[in-house]
Amino acid sequence: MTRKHRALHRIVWPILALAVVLGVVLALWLRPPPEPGQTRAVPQEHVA
Amino acid sequence: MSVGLRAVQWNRDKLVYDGILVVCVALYLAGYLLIAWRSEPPKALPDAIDLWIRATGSCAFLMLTVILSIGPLARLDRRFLRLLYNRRHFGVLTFLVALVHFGFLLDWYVVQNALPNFAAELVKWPDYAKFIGFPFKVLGLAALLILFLLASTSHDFWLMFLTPRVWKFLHMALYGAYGLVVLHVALGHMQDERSPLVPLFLIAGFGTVALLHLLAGWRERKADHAVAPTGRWLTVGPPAAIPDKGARIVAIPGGERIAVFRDGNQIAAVTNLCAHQNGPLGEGRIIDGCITCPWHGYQYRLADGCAPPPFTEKLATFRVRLERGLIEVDPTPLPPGTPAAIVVA
Repeated sequence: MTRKHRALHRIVWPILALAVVLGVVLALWLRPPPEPGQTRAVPQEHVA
Repeated sequence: MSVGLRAVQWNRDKLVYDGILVVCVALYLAGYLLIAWRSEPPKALPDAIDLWIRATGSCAFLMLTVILSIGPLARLDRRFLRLLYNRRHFGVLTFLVALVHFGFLLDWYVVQNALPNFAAELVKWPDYAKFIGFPFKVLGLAALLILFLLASTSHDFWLMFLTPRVWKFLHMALYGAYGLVVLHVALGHMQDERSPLVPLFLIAGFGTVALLHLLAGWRERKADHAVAPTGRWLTVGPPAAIPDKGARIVAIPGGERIAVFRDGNQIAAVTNLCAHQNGPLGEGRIIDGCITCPWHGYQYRLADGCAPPPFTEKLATFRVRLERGLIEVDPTPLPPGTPAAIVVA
């Protein structure tokens, strides 16, 4: 790898790691509580 | 080494590599489906398709995790170089698995006569302002698009056409695709699925990759510190400090690295960048009198940096001299293929 590739690498990974970890933690923290008997289905408001 | 254009340059090693990959993917999918089917048998066709969506999606995520770990692992431990050799085929297979995942998603809508809903989900603009409820499928689609771009330009033709420098920058987009995939799962499947396995799988996968890249980057940083120049020459050290049939890498102040090789009493300096994919030549060995790149085995003569016939690749060489028992390198590159090796007593 060239010096520029390595420099970009060293900039990109800390930013990417921070952004993704923050996103995952927030997604876990904010996820709604489970509803009883919940199943995956096509959202009703979209059914043609 | 390459001569002429061929669709795919197969050899025994690549066939074995690809064979193992295909078998591993098949075993993973079979294992996932078997366990999921037994623990919760699907009640209807959409449920069965949903299992395939999850099996192929998790498989693609796992494959991306492994692919992105290979690079830093090979920097940290040479034993992983064997995995790097055919990483591009690994990437193409990952794109195909991700494409099948997308195909099953479309099928899931089709069997419920609800395909227009998929498009409706993508253009439900108010959802883009939400965090929970964000159209996570868009993130997956964006990642799939990047994977398509990378898979379609993975051939050596594109490497030569774009130049290794540009090609490498383009293929760094894989990092972004991986981030999109993680958020696609976090805002999608992880919101429905209450099993702690999903966040664990996600965090362990991404955490491992990020940690390996940060660690490899931190270790690489030290090697970029330039050696103290003596006038315009860089001091490498005594000839014995260069491993026989190996190299010592020195950095030009503010420039690229130089690999100083020794083969017995013959010493030569070439750019550390392989002409193929900018692989780190200085981490390679001299095999059959030729500098051999540790990534894909491209070879160059020690004497002049030229690939042996019929191959045509050439490396920039550097003048070397023995001064007061120390090997020194002139950091000004000579035109590629210029003979510059010296013999020391």
